[in-house]
Amino acid sequence: MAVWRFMDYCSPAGNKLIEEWYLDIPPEAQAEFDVTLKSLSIRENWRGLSEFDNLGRNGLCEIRFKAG
Amino acid sequence: MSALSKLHDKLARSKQYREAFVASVVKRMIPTQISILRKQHDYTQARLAKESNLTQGVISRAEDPDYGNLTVNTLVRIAAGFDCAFIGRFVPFSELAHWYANLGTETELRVPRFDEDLGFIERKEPRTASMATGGVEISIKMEAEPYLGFERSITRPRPRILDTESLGTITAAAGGR
Repeated sequence: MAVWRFMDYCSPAGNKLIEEWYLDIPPEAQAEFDVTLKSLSIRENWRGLSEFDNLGRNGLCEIRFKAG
Repeated sequence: MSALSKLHDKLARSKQYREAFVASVVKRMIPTQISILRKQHDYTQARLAKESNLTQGVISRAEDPDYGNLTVNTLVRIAAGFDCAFIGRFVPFSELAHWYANLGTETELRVPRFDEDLGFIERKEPRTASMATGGVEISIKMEAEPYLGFERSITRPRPRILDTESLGTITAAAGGR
């Protein structure tokens, strides 16, 4: 069981915005995204990781990865 | 749907995804493990560089999941720095998928140093017991059975006597000759 679990954002209209974005990017970028989430899901502390940054307001954060 | 089934579906969708997935796992999970091992050993990058006979810049790049240009020689040096082994080998996708889907916490990526490696305590070489009686050599078969070591996905050989009843019979027969 992973330490972290990622959930998609579902808009009031019922759209899964992250899934829609994911399905629209090339397979190479999908793989990078998948493995980036996996590597974050097993880490207890994300502080200092290059894949993650806290944007500092309202708990908003970003996940970063390079593809291609 | 299990994580393994989901991963299988993605891998089955295209060869392009499979290639990219392997590249991403190697590129991201090895730096992740190096970083986890360094914290496990309470090493700074400078200390690991010294233990590995590399520069701190090389260690810094080795922990960068976006670098993607690590050489086998560097990985072998880093393994030496942690006093553990590094193996690079080709495997079927199913093996990669099982390992990847079952990986849940960073603890599973920790590796003991050689002098703390309990795997050798549990592990004994498989052997065949034999005895010569009246010019006839009798062999007792041993087989390997899986057991859980440090990594739950790894099976290691452990000897045990296959059939103790047969052993008794053989011994009795040998003694009766």
